[in-house]
Amino acid sequence: MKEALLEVTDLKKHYPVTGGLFRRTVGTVRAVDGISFDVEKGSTFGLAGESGCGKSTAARTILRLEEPTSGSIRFNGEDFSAKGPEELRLARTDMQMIFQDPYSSLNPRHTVAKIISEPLRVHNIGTHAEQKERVRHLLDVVGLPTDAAERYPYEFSGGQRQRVGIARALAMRPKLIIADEPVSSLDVSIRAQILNLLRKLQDQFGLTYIFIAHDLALVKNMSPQIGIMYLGHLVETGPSGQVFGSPAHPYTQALIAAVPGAGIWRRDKDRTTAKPAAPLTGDVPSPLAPPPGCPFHPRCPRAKPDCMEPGRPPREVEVAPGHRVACNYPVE
Amino acid sequence: MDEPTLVVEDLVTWYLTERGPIHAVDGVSLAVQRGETLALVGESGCGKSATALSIMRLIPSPPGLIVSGRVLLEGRNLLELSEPDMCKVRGGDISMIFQEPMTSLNPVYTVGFQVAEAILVHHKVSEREADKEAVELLDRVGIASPARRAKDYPHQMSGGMRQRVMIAMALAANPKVLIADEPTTALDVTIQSQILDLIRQLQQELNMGVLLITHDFGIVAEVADRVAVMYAGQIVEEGSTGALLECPTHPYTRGLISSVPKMDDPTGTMLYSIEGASPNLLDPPTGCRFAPRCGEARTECRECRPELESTGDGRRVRCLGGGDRR
Amino acid sequence: MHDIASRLWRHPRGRVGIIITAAVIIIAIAAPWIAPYDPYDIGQRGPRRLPPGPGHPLGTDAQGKDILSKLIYGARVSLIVGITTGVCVTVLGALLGIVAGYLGGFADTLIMRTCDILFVVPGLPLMILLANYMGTKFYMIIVIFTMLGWAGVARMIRSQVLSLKSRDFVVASRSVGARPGHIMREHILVSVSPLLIVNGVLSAAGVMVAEAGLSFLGFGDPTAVSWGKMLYEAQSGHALLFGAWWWVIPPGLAIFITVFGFMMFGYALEEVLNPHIPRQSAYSKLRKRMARYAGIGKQAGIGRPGGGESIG
Repeated sequence: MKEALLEVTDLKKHYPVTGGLFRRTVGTVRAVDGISFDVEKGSTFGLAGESGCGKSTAARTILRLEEPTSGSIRFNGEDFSAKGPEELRLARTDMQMIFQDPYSSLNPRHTVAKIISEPLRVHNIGTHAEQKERVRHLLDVVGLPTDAAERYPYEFSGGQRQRVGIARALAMRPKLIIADEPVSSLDVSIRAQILNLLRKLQDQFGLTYIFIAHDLALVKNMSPQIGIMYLGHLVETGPSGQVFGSPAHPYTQALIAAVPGAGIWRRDKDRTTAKPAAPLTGDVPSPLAPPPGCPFHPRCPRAKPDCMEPGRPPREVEVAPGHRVACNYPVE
Repeated sequence: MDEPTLVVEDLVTWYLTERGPIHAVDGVSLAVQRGETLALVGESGCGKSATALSIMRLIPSPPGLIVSGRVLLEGRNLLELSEPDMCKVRGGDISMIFQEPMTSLNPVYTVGFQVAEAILVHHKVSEREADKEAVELLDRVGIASPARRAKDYPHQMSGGMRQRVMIAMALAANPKVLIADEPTTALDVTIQSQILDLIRQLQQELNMGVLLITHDFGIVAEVADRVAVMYAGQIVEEGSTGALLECPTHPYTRGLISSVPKMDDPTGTMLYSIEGASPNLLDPPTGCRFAPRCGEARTECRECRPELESTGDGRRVRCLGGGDRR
Repeated sequence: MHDIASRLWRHPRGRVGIIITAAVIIIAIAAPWIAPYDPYDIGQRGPRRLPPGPGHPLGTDAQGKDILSKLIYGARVSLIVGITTGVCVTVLGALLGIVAGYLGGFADTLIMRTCDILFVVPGLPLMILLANYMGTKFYMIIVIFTMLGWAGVARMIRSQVLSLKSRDFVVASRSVGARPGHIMREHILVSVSPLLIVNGVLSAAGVMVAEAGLSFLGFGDPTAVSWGKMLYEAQSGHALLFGAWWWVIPPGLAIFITVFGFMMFGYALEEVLNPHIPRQSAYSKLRKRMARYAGIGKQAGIGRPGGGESIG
């Protein structure tokens, strides 16, 4: 049994919606509605799903950049969700984040050196000279020239800025890095550069990643373990070979089938098996008014009456070792 | 119907800046047949959107300028038409749909009104008839309860529905060619699949030619009959989809395809990464524009500009080492 | 820094603004040396109500003081009140705006409701009331203007801060463990500083007009020599009735030119610090170039450039 660096249990993040003259709470947006998963030390856990499924909110809630509504987060054996403000501030050195947009994640008025050294300055780590040295070392590690330190973000391309963001995340030698769509804003030919860099860093520093993306092929490529999210719920988790090879949840099936050109690259060139399931009709329901029972039932080709019963979430089943599904009638 | 409906010959478009002209489109030639889908693939800045906008003569001017070339729609050169004549062509013979339906639709008018407006521009019918036709069009693009949805405003609809509305507006006058500029990039993958199916279905019904602009090879594989790969304002490779994806010739195409993660590959597959970055189109490299990043570049590649040459069986490649297939 | 200064100089309005503002400041500082007389010196008095002539290029006022000298010394009051208030209003408004915007909660409510009250109360009557109560020495004027003026700045800064708060680089800073104070200093303040600078300059211009207005109404500092007070004296001395334009036009023109200079400077600064706003001159250069290339296009047999609708 590999050691789990992060254990998330029944994490929820609800946002109240206020309305009316007196700002009463008229509804709740259940952005994250009870997700549980473990992340193995040194491994990568991929979180996939379409827009609005709650994966970015989950990332911020795990880091407590947004306070969880309920649920627990255990990091490195300690209860992360119970830490007080000052303890939390110090604990932040262990968990870092890489952001999606390389243009807004760096302060345009700070030099690269100031951006990368910010974690060190905030925690008063090292003298000025030591900080400078560390910045130079980090620039080297992420493949940027050392003279980049005194330049401003606008002088760099998207891919280079993302490298700066990665250098900043590494500044305090974290154990866990959450990468929230780290390459989605980059050009196709630059993505591979950044992904290869992330892999190299993981080997070099023994990092653990949570990799968030809506591009299924990307998530599969980077993550041995994967979780599929829909409307704030984790509908399926498990080893990615298993989940993509024999998807048990109808949504996972539909998602895989919707990826364009999936069969075209197959070595056996057998394109007749490219679309195993019928394409999904309709739109994703609003998180303000999630369907009762199983959130997926309105679009599910296999839904039965008991899937729609209010107050009865779908059953959680382990269809294979480590492969779990939240579905009353999982696919064989 | 052997003559292609839309033929672009040696199109050159510049964007003028204080530091000189940006060679956004540098001698692009392509052809789209009725009933066929040609995909124009490339990364951002390669000139694919500029090509589409040049065909529609929607390049903002200043700073844009179509310098030379011909755009022939069933034999007529669109670049020589007066503006009023071109307005008739836009939407009537060639339509375009864009990436962001939220910004392409007017937020203060209902959806039904906008579709009816598109109809009225090209057909002389009464307003009531146009409204009726609009509802029929909304039904045709797969919007449920079209009569009711016609009264909705764009912000009340989801991204996928807005894109369907855009498609309805584009098809209002039964165009011969549809240009779709990254129509699904902003949509979720399950919605994307619906929209691509819709476009394909409508293409067959109307026998339209489709010029699909995208950066996603998966989409190309799924819907395109032929594909042209663009880099730095030029087409570097062109051919039928199946053959090109199976056996890409140009080093850029090969590199691009190898750098994309694929569902069929196992986890942990290393991705090939093309070194460097796209060239600055203000001052493009002499010789082959891909040479600075090409692993197979020879000395003559940096000096001579390669031309787009046929390699037989419908394939054209712009490479001095062309014909070497792996 | 140098880059901004040189761009400002090349900007047509910037150049005008810099020249005028610099000229007024130099005049104000050099007043004791360039003014022919000292209006504060009771000993230096000439004949009363003289029209412009030798010895007194702009004539004298009802007490025999030289108008030209008053004009020159008047620049001091306007500039001191204007610039000091501009700085104080901006600093106070920025502080409260950033705190309200970033910390939210009770501080936000308190500060914003105070702003609301200040907006609702009519400015000029309140100023007059306060001036009567607190005295009209010019430093009191500065205090009064600051008390009334910070609200606009605070509100504007607060809305900027609200949108900055959710920007990724601020979230990144929080994720690294930065305290709110650090973020407000290093990220928020740095990001709004161009806005603050521009606002400061434009505020100063506005305050100069307000001070002149207050003095004109008779509520200014009675011991100070200011342009507004000169207008007040002109009005109470029925200058126009006697055709004494030299009592009215010089101070009025002085106010106008100074404020104009500051505002040009402020607007040019805004355009220079915000490179997104396109400038008219850039377009005209482009159009000249367009015409040249259209010639190429015509030779190649193409009908029209760009193909779409031209701008303008």
